[in-house]
Amino acid sequence: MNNYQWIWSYVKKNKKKVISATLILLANSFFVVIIPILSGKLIDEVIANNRVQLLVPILLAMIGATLIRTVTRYIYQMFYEHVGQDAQFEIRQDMYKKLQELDFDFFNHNRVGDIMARMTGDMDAIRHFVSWVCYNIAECVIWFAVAILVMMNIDWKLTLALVAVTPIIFIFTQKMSKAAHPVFLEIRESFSRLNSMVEENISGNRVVKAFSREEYEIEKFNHFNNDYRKRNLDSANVSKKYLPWLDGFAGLLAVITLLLGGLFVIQGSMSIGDLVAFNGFMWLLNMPMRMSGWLINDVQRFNASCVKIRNLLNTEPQIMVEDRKKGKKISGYVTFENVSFAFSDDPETPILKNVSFSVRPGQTVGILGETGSGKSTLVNLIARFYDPTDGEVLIDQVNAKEWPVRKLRDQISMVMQDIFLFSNTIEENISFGNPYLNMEQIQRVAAIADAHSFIAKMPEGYDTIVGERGVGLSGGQKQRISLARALAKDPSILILDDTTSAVDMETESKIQKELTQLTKTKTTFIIAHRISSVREADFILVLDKGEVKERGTHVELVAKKGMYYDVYKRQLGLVEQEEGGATIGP
Amino acid sequence: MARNKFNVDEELETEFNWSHYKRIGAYIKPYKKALFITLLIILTANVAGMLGPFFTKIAIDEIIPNKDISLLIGISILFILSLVVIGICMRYRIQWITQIGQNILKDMRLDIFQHLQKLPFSYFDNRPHGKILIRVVNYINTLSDLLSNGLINLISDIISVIITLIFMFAIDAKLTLYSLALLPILGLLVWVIKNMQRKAYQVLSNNNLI
Repeated sequence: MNNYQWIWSYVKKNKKKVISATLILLANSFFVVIIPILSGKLIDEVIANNRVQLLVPILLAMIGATLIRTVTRYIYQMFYEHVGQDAQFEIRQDMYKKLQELDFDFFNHNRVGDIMARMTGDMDAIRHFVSWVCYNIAECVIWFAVAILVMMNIDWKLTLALVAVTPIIFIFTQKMSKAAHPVFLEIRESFSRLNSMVEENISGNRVVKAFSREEYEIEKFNHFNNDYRKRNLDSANVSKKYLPWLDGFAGLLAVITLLLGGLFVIQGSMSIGDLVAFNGFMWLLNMPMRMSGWLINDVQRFNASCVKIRNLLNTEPQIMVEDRKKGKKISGYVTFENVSFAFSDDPETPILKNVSFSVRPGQTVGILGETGSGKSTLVNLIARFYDPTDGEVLIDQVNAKEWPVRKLRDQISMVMQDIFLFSNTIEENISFGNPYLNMEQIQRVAAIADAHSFIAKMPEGYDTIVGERGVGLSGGQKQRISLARALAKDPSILILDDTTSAVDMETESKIQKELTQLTKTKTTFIIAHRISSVREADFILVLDKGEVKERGTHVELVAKKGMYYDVYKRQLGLVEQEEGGATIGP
Repeated sequence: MARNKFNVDEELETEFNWSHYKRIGAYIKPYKKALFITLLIILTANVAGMLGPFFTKIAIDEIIPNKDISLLIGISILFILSLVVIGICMRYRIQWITQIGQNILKDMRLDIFQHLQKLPFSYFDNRPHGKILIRVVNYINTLSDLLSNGLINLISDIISVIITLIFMFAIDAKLTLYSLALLPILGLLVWVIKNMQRKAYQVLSNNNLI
């Protein structure tokens, strides 16, 4: 499928509009031609033959034709614009849907700024093509054809001489088209890079300021800014190489008319009146040729953007997301059988090695380990953000790969380590996974997450708008809101990835107490660095470099005096020191 | 403006005024010389562009009725020469204009980016980042259209209008004045449409956020 077939698939549903617009365009060209014919009549009949009584009717006809021409042109322009806007709407819709389908792997490998450039700049190039370039090409083709028809009628020999030049113009347009294509692709890529750089700078503005690296950022920006400028100049270089030739050949048509037509008149095979009339239609032939070069640029701009957008639309997620289907609820049995995992772009470095365990609903699993030991990856496999490289993850005794992804995720709530809150009200953030909650229910989950008290103290309470990623809230507050959001979904499996790391011990134990009430029928995974977060768990997995090194309850593991005990001892010592420090202080 | 979310519009508080053009003027200043040369190129091209129809007029009015073939060939060669001049002018026009335009855009983008580095946390905290990104990258591209196409077409068209008017007044001043009778209505229309477009574009750009 080429780019034109592709865009047609979006325009097709407006076929009627496109056809009517094109018919109106055709009719319009009649009025475009009639005006010079009328002015010719005016000169021949009224001025030359002195038939003054025809002056007013001809003038009225000219005004009428002009009015009709303007109105019809407006109508078909609006039609094409509608079609373009509709197509843009649909494509954008498809792209957004695609983005919801794509998996972690895609977002790990694509920059946000790149994706945003697809949604904005590239989209506009496509709209511009459908709503403007298309009818301009149609106008050019039709006017060119009409001009040849009318001119043939006046003098076919001269017309043929002019038509003989057109292949040269065609060759030039082809050459230019070829040269322009890679340049416009480069422009789009450069724009993407610039977009990504600025996006990262805006998102990371706190880091930039904290490290006072503004100068470095500006220097980096300068590099991308200059590159984008250079790419645009490259495009101008293509234009300046071909456009003057195209324009020159279009002008040459007038010279041929003058010279050859003049000779015909001198020989007597053509009347001078015909030559004047012929010359009057010259612009209809000229204009399309002059426009052709500029239109080619627009077409290539469209092609470059098409490539980018279609690449995105054709990306298939490795984990397919299907439509949400109703079915039985997941009870919460989770079994890992010899699960190993490595990222596809680094298969040599295993993140998880031969992990096996089994949990049933109502149980809580604690996962402990150093950073990079594979804790988060382990829980990511449960929600199928990735699939294991080896072994099986079973949910309710069924391989996770057999579960429809969205159904699975519907029943799993995850509080991720990297907390993302939308720039929206707290209420809407909490009810994100379950929009049907009423205020009372929202407040209840917030209370369980120990968030209600601080939310209630805010001047606008639950209507407070949090900034992007929850700026303006403390780390602990963000964690508690995101915990409330996870609980609001009432899931079968609850995964807490380092969720209480930023809250104090007292709040943590308060939250834990509330949670045990709530999680009696749920399977809960708690990833933590602090022993206090996992000591109540039914069993604890101690991960080291992707392997389960120890497992058991808190009491068992302490008795074992292994890795867990070391951590316990260290943290206990830390706690004693902290408490000691507190007594010395004021 | 207080903290806002993605679907909340930020009204443009400043009315349009000429000082905006003055600000753009400050960016054009360093390229004054280049712009002047470009202007000369456009002027030359426009004058050369008028020669073609003028040669045609002479040929049809005098040379062809006099059956002077050698003069006809001569004027055709002059015509071709005028096309060559137009072509050369076009080549340099494209080069200079893009260079000036892209340099100005580069300067503007850098200024905005540098300014962005100075803005306080609250600026970034109070609005979704998409809104800021659009300001730095996409709005500048709108200006790019104004500079690369709009400004140049404007200059070129103004020169054309002036030269044409000179010719028209030289031929028949009274008739020219008659033909300009509708100009005030055109001006009024343009003014009305301009204001409507500005309003509409604001609504559009406020929605243009992801």
